[in-house]
Amino acid sequence: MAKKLKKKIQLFYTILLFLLIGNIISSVNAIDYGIGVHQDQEIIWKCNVCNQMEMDLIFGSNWKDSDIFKNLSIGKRMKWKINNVEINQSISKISFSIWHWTSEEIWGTKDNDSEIMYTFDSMVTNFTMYKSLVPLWFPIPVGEFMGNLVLNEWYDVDNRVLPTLNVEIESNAISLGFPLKKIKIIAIYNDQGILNSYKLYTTGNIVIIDISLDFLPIYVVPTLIGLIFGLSISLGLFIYKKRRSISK
Amino acid sequence: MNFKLKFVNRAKELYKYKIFKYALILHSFYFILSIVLYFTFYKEKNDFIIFYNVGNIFLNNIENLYNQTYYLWDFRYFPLSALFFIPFSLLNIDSAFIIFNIFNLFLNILICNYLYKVIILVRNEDHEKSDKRVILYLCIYLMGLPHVLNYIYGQINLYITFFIVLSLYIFLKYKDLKWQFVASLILGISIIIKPTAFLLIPFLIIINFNLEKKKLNVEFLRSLIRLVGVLVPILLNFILFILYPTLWEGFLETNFTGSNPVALNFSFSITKLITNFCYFFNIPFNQLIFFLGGITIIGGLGFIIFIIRRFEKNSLIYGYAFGILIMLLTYFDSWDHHLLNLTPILILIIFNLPRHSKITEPIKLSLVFFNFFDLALIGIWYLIYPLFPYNFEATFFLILAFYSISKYCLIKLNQNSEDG
Repeated sequence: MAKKLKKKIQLFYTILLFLLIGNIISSVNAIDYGIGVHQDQEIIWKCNVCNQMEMDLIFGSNWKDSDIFKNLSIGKRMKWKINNVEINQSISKISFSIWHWTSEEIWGTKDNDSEIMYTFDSMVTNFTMYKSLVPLWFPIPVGEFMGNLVLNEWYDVDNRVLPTLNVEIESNAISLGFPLKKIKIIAIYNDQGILNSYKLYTTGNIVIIDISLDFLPIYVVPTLIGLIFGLSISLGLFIYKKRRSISK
Repeated sequence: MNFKLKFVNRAKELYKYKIFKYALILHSFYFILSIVLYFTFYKEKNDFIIFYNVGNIFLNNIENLYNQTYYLWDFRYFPLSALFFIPFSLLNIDSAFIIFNIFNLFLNILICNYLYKVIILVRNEDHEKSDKRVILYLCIYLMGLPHVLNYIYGQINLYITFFIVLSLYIFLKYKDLKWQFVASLILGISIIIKPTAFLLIPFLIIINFNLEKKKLNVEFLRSLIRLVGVLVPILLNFILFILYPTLWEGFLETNFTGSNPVALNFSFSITKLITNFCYFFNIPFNQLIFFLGGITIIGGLGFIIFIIRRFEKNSLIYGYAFGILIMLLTYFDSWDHHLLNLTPILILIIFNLPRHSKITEPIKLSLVFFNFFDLALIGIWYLIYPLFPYNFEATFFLILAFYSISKYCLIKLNQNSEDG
């Protein structure tokens, strides 16, 4: 009887210990945001699709007069150079120089300077100040940061696999005649918090803007080759083994 | 002999097997690792957060059950599923997560227990009579890497697996109508929690077309009982839909009006591979059409093969396998931890097939891949997605399993016993 009681007490304490450890760890584990980009880092995007006529129709003819869509057209590239990064308990800020969309191989002198700032005290955010309707940079860990943002009903954060902002805006939702048609945006960010892929869709799920980061991490090609090689070897060995067992 | 004594004696007996010791150590490691990773990395990005919120919203604000602004990620299951999460919602979230996973651990013991019972029921006569090989496969299930993600995310796949295996056990063990109804009711409950087994419903119909005699056999009453049993729990949700019309609208909107293009992920379903391709190459697409098309083609093919199968005994196992395979191949999000619903069924098939059947080989291969390699390929997907966003390897093994089971269903009776 005493043995039974002892075992029950042991079980009770084990569960209690688990819960206690859980609570201790959880109470000390607040997210510390950081900045994934560094000073003097150059970020280049390229434009893969740009349907000018459709953009004129949806956003009016001045959609590419300013901001990050300035001079945008297919095949062009845009560059940012990070000048300064600043992070503390309440804010996260980057200052950068911009070279607007261009077909030139040589970048020349910068077109503009700008900055992006997030305050951690209030995560209520509005992205309508950007013509792209999403920012091109977030603090890190980007998935967690996006998940904690308080956005209006146009935005849906999906940070399960790749940090993604899904945007769906009905016609006339921003202002009268703006946008003229319903639009959807899928914006994917990389682990540095930089916009990796931006696709703007119109009716019929047709892509009218496709911008992507003009940078392929060094490990992508070797890993893909390794995977193809590994799978081919496995398949070859499997077929060889099968043939041998049949011939036996 | 009381239950506790029986359990202890059985555990001692099993502990004599080396593989069981390894499985126990590895599974305990998965469990502890999941708790550590939850508190260090996954606290803000976790499926359990959704289930936890669902319980709260069901209690306090039911009309907003499908208002996705309340959730980290979309809640899309039937409204009654929330009932399962209410007890956890009453606790603090971290304690709830730990208790939920202790529950998952306990469920795994029950799954192994019922899996063992079903194996003994359906094991082909030419298999070894000792338990050694059965224990080996149960240990393989316990050592499976999909358990890691299932524990870390606080996922509910083990509930589904438990209900699937339990219902199969009752279906096969008790032939009278009362128990057939109970088994299908259990399956219906699993569909309420998560509709993974939804496409399994048609395979409950006892129907067979004899190709030689050109004769269709349908066990009408038994099939009807099964269908009623499985549909009753699902239809109970409609009481809530009638009481709260906004729930119905939300449920439809979340599940069936998803015509928007969606971003890349590592799901291995055929539907997702196609939508990833369309996304990558800017081809206009409607994911719902691909999903419905996939169900029609793959589901239709599976059901036709199931109807014209050349055997009757224990055919339900193959129906279960078809149902889950079709779901994994066609639903948008088929992830590593969903494989926990399939691997026990594959183990059952291995034991039901003749011991040296040629068909066992590809099934074994698929089992090993799902259990030990799929997770690694998800990691590789993260490295190559900017250039090649397709997690196609698991799809290949799902198709391989589908093909092997189809082949077994279609080969002639005398060959079934010889070649399997």
